[in-house]
Amino acid sequence: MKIMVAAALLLGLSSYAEAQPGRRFYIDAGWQFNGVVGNDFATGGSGWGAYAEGGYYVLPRIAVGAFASFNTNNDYIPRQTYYYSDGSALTTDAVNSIYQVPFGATLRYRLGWKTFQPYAEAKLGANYAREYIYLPDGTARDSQWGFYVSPEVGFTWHPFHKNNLGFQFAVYYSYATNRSEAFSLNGINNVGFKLGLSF
Amino acid sequence: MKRKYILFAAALAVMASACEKVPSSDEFDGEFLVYTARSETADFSAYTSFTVADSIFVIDGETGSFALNDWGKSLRSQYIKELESCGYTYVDTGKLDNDHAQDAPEGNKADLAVQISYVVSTSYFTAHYPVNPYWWASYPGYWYPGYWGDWGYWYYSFPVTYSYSTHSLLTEMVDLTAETGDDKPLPVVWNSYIDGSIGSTRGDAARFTRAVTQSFEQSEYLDRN
Repeated sequence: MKIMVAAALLLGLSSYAEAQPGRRFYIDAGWQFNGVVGNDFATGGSGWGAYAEGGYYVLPRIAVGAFASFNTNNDYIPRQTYYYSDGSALTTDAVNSIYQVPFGATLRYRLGWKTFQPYAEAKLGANYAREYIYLPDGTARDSQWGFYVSPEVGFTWHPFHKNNLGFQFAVYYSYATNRSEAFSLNGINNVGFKLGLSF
Repeated sequence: MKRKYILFAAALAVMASACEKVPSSDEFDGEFLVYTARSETADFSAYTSFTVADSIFVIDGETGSFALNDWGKSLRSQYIKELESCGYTYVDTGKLDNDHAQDAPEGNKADLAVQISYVVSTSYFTAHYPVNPYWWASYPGYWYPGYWGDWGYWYYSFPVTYSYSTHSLLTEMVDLTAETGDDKPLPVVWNSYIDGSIGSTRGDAARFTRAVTQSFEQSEYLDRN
């Protein structure tokens, strides 16, 4: 019996040791492609973005951490004439733009802890956003803060022995409560993916 | 270690703000912005004739001057044609069109007068929308109300919204049927602002021509026909 318990403990310890191929904390960073959807101000995808996040595995599968990212999404509005109630009129093309910087806390659950580590993550935090209407001769701008929530699924892949360096790919959806009365924007929906390095 | 995290966070913040993507001028179609405004109280069907100032006022930095080069002549002719096609009758005032050394007969009177200003560059006004830029009131040499007669000052009966105006065309239509006097304002009843700040190339003349046409297309109330 003692031998069986000792064997079981050894087996457990060895698998636990294998479960920690690197450090208990991680840092991921890279490029982020973000699409803004579901509003009348600016939609479309853009690769003008990046992200960084870090966390600590408080349990073998569960990590808590923090994240920050940014993205700019520009939407070209073809030339048209706008008529106003006071009799004035404006003919121009324009670029409507949304710039976002979300940041906050993360909760990550990973399904494995070997070379290939798929995970699901929830992000919760704040979103700072600026909206612009760029005209050929000037710019109108608004900015505000909102709450931010984002589910994400992805994986990190650590192919190197004796080195925790790896790669990350993930897809996400996010919603931020930012509202701009000036630009008739009520909430910002995003979908996107990110590609980066995992340390 | 803590210092490293602070530096990392600072670097992220700088990177985030630096990577905000501002569209370049190439992302626009290259045509000029055209803004027009009108007096809501003006009855354009009551006017029958018009004139166009015999020169263009050119604003360049801290100075302004009256000039009429080939482009100015072409521009002036376009305004005359556009307004004639709207049903108004042209009256030659100021210097005669066919002989700039001669004055037009004093009896030549029109209901409306159009004055055109071209902004080469200016440091007077660089604000964004929306503002009421009465900057020209103090601009050296700008169309003084007395050019058209015995008026004391300018009067806009509608809000005017301009933006950064380098390489821009400002056109004002004033009502010459209003009561005159030293204390009487010269009423502006229509204006257009054509912004060419993305331009300053050889193609600008053609773009200004298209923009002037657009300024009348979006001002259907000027059409008496």
